[in-house]
This record gives sequence, structure tokens and C-alpha cells, in this order.
Amino acid sequence: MTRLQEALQGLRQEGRAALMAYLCAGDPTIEASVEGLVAAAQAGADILEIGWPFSDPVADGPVIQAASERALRHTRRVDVISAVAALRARVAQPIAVLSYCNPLISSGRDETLRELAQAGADALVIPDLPLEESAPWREAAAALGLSITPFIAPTTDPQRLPQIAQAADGFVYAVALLGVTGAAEDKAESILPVVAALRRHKDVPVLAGFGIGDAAAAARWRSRGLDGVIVGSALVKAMAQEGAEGVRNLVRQIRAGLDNLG
Amino acid sequence: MSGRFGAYGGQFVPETLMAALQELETAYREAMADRAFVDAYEALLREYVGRPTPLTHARRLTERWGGAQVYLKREDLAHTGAHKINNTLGQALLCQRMGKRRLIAETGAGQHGVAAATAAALLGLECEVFMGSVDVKRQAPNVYRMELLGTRVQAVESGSRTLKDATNAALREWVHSVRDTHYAIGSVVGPHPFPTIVRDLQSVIGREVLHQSEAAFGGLPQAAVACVGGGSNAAGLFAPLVPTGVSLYGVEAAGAGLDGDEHAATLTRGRPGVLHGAYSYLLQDGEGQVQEAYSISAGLDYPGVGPEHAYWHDSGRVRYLSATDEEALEALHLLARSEGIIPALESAHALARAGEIARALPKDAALVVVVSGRGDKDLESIREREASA
Repeated sequence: MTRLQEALQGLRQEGRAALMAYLCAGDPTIEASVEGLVAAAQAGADILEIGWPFSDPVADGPVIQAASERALRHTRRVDVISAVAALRARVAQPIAVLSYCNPLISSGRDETLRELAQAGADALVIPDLPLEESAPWREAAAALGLSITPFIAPTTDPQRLPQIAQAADGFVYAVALLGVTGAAEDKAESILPVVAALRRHKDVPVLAGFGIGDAAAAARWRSRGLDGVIVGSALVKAMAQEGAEGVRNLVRQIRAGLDNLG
Repeated sequence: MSGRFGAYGGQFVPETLMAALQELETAYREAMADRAFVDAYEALLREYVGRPTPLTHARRLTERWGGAQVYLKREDLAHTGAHKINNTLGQALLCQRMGKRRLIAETGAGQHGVAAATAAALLGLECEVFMGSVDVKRQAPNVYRMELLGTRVQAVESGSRTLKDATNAALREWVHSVRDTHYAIGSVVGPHPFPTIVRDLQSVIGREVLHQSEAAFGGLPQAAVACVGGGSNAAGLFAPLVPTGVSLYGVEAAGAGLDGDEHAATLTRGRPGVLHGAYSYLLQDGEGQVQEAYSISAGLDYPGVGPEHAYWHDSGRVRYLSATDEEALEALHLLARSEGIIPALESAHALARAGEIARALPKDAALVVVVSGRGDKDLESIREREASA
């Protein structure tokens, strides 16, 4: 069992929701972004998601786009990989790396996956890699013990759910709204029928992300039966305004929101 | 439809868009098999766009170059002044067929934006065009044209504020509005099925060239050349000619020169990567960050290129050359003075390499050059540049 699977299974046995916290590597510096994620871990995040800045982040809203632009002024490939290693040295939680395809393939996909695995990454979240393109990636990642996180969205065709469920070796990332990261929360909850349909194929942990930024929203998604939530834009904003302490405070609030639900 | 051209192409998009791409592929396949749809599209090309566009024998240019007979495929005479309308009318009809009421598009110079706005006005669709704020300033007349046609123009402030970021913004908007909106992409780029759909819709260019060549000189030309940014007019010319023995040339923008960073010669200087949903050649740094392209021609100023061009490039079926800003300007002046045609700066890149291709061929051979658009939109920027030189 991988570190990610163990963590998710442990949470389930305790009846607790998973909280995955995102920050962009190199925003504002590599050291500060590692510090921010360490603070998130200490405040109760279960999975740490570190973003590889990219010039063209099409799945991201203005907050993460701006973080990516700030980071790119000084962040190189070697910095991202060393940030993963630095984080691994300081936390026990699983580490997910969020990256678009191109930075990962630029120096050779298999070589880059190998370096990330060696640095201590457990999973990859690749927003522009749908299931249909992912077979060679999964093969390469599996050999390294890395998980590639499949997505579902409110528009996902039910016919694709069996393969998506099959591909999940950690958790499934449920895009909780029609839009980009940091958008307004979806009051229509249009992802829920897709989550229910997915679970009929396989009992796999499902974490909801996009537009979930505070304790109340996290608690709402928990009460809707999700296994956990992913918080990105709100933490990037907290980081920009108050640094690692801002991240710590927000993660603590969201943790409380998730736990008090019982 | 396979969605792959050799190793290139694919669907590298957020999960949210996968259903829309499947829906589009199905709708397109059914539409092409539906005689009524094809008839409606062809009627619009005839009666609204003014097709077929002529194949003009450029006699003075031929004489000057002293080689093959030069023929110009006159997309500059299509309604809205460029080949872009061939694509937007087809996609607007598809939009209607899918029951979607709204069209969105990206634009650089504004030519595709104007063509999308035109098609939307004609078919009564709502339309919104994303345009980098730098381009909004550079291409003010086209912004006004789109607004006259009833389209909302969104200035994009992110990234480089040009075509690449306008495309990102259009993709983000599509993720949000995918249930009632069709994204009419402007070139043979983006995720499958767009490169195939746009190539097919533009293939009217190559098919007309085949017929008109037969009528004009009783056979096939020896060679054909078109400019390549994303590569839609070139793909439309090449696709019907690829199975023949005609030598094919694409001309990319070498901008200020291939030695520096200021160019848009993606196939000549780039390497494969993923941008805007497809695996193709890209201008990028050593670590996979996409670079800004540069060309005097806003329509060629794009760091990617259609995946089928990447395939034709690697297979050697098409040769890809490049022309600098200066060479394109010279060619524009030459065509204006020798034939009375002011081409778009994009098309001037094809003309800039056509002379050498013509001279290498005998006088009884024929060379077809696509004039993909007319130059009116560029007059102000050319005048400014030449006044300050």
C-alpha cells in the first residue's frame, strides 16, 4: 500500500475527511512555499499539493494564474523538484505535485517522473491530462509508485466512469463546478450525481476541489458525502497576504469545519 | 476520427471539456453525412462568401521572377477579406445544429474574430470574442468591426496579453459555459476534433485549386505555397494536394530573424510539447515554459502550430521555410506594384519565399501561392513602421 493509500484509508477508518492543501512552488520564494505547506501540514492538512508553475495554466482562475506568473520570474525546474524534497524531509503526509503536461514532458516524461518520485512525491495531479491520454503516463508512474489522479467533472459522460474508477489508485479529484479554480461555489451541486454514479463502479475516495475556500464550504462538501476537500486559491491568497501564518490559520479553520461535523 | 496525426494531436484538456469535444465530434460526423447540412454550408460559401475565389495568373510577377507561371489563390476576395470565414460559417452552423445559442472565439489580429462575429450575426447567434489587450490597442478598427456586428470583445489582461493568452481565456470561458456555448477555434490547432474540422472546412481552398488548375493550365501545379501561423489556410490548401505529387511549402514568420528570440517559426525553431489541448511543435524554453512569439504579422504571431503540420513536417511531405518581417514587407510592396493586389502581411510571408520556388522551376511549370487575406487591416501599422524607419 502506498503512503497516499494508507493516509486515505486511515482517515476513512477514523471517519475523518481528508484536506488537501495547495500552494504554488516559488510563490513568493521556494523556501516560503515549502514553509507554507509545512504550516498547512502542522495545522491539519492530510495531503500537501505543490504546484509546478506554468506559463499557460488553462484550468486556473486569476488567483493561481497570478501566483504562477510571480513564481515563474525565478522558479526553475530544479527548484520545483528540490521543493518537493525539502517538503518530504519535513512532513510525513503524502505529497501531490500539480503540473500541466508540458513542464513534465519537456525534459523527458519518464525522467521527470523518476526525479519527482525520488524527491518524495506520491501523486501527480495533471489538469490537462484526461483519462484518454493518460495510459502511457500511468504505466510510467506505476513503475515508480506514483499515483496519477483521475478527474471527474459535472459534465463527465457516465459511460467513462468505469474506466475512471478503474484508473484511480489513490483518490478521484471531483471538479466541483463548471469553471476554473477559485470561481464561485456551485450552488446547484451538479457534481454530486456524477460522484454517486462513480461510486457505483468502485468505492474509491473522492475529494472535491475548485471554489472551496473556507470552513463553511468545506463542511458543506463533507456533509454532501465527499471524502474530503481540496483548497487552493484561498490558501494562495492567504499566503500572499499573511505568509505561512495565514496559511496555518486558514487550514486550522477549515480543519475545524470538517471535523466538527462529526 | 483518430485525433492523431502520427504522434501529434490528441485531447490535452481539463476533464470538464471532454464531453463537449465528444459531442462536437459526433455532431460533426453526423453533419457531414447529412446532405442538407452540407448543402446549406456550400450555399453560404457560394452566395454569402462569394466562392469560388479566383485563381489569378500573376503575369508581371511571373515575368519578373522568370521561372514558373505564378497563380494566386485569392482568399483576399472572400467576404470579410480572408479565408477565416470558411471556418467560422461551418462552425456556426455546427453550433446551431448542437442546439447551442452562443459562440465564443479567440483572436489575434482580429480577422478570425471578425469572421466569427460575421457568422454569428448571419445565423442569429450570440457571440463573444477574446482578444489580448495589447492586440485590442493594435487592432482598434477590427475591434470596432466586431462591435458593429453585435459581438462583445473581451480584452484579456493575463500573461502576454496577445493571442496565446486570448486562447487561454477562451478555453477558460468555455469550461464555464460549455453547456450552451460552442468554442469556434480559429485555426487547425487545439484539441481533437478541432484540427480535423478546421482543416476540412478550409479544404475548399485546395479543392478549388485542383479544379481551377485543370481549367487554367490543364493539370496540377508543380508546387504550392502558403503561410503558416496556426496553419489553417495552409492546411486547407495542402490537405487535397497531399495525395498528389505537388511540392508543398509552408512559410513561417521569422520575425526579426531566426537567430534571436523574436520570431514565430515554430516548426523551424521549436520542439514538440503540449499547448492549448494538442501535442505539436511549440516555441518553449528548455523547461517547457511556452515562449512569446513575435512577428510583424499579428496573424502569425503564435507560439504553436497545428498538429497535422507537425506530422507533415516530420514526414517530409511539406517543406517549412520562413520569411522575416523585412522580406514580408518587400513582398507586399512587390505584389502591390506588380499586380495591383495588397496582400495581408500574413500572406506576404508566402509571397516572400515564392520567388525562389518559382525560379527553381521551368517556365512551363505552375506555382500556386495562397493570398490568404487582403492587406487593408495592416495599412496603418505598415505606414507607421515605414515612417519611423
